[in-house]
Amino acid sequence: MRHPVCIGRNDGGEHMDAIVIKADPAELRARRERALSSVRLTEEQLRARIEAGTATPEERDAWQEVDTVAFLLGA
Amino acid sequence: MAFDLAAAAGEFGEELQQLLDAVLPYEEGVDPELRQVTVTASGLAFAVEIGTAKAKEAKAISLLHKGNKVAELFIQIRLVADSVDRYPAVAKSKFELRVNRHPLLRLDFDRSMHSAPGCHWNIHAERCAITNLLVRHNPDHSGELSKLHLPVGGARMRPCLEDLLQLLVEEFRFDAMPGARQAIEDGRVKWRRQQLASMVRDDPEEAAASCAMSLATKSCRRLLVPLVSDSIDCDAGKAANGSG
Repeated sequence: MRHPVCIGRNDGGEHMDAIVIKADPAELRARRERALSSVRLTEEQLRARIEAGTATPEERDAWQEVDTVAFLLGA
Repeated sequence: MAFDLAAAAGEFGEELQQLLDAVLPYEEGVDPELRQVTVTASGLAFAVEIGTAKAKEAKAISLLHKGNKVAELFIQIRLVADSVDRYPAVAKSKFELRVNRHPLLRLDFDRSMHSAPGCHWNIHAERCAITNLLVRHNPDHSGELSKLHLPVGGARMRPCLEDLLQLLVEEFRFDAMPGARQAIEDGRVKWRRQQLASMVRDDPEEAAASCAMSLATKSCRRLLVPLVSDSIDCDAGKAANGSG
């Protein structure tokens, strides 16, 4: 794992190093739960709203989180 | 081998970070770590996101005009091992221009998508004429322009992030770092070389045939040009002599 390092400023801009982290299944599950609780929906309800095209922007973001967790846990 | 793949995914993330930092200024007063490219590794799969390490969720990058936030750029990329587990390959990507979380433009790529073009733009706007055409002729379509998949280039020749960044800084005139244009151009050249190499690996026989044809054409030209020149000289000489 590399840690974030701020390597300097240039005209007001920060310059970061990218960070690589190893997926932690417990943290990923917590991430999914945070996303679902933020929109107060179950995964099935959220999926249904996404598929119906009726999701709000917040719900779309929550779905992104759920989908990313599924991608990483499924790997 | 998996270690090398993780290292390569990290390099991918670092290149993305460098590109973003070279093109888009940071928002003053906002924790820069919320704009840190985070590569989360799980076996041979990697999620490339912004700000996840700090925020514990994917964040969007602020797009500024005269230092004020006016829009957001959301970036999400998923990498998986290629067919020989040697390189991380993009399986899916999503680039979105947003205002208050509402998408305006989306460039989506999903190499496993078959129901729509694998790489496409979605435009979140309204145009009655298009809606009328869609609903009148396609009973399965809602008529929403945002659900129309505008195809672009396929997997190998799709637009790169640099193309979108150029759109943002040149047409929308969002704030850009000094040297942004050069960074965009350099990144695009690198991307196109990588894509060309991938295309050659996809179909080496076609690539070899094309190279052979190109070399043969050049050789022919080298042979033919003196002959043609001689012929022209000859004809010119005939004309000058009043013969022929």
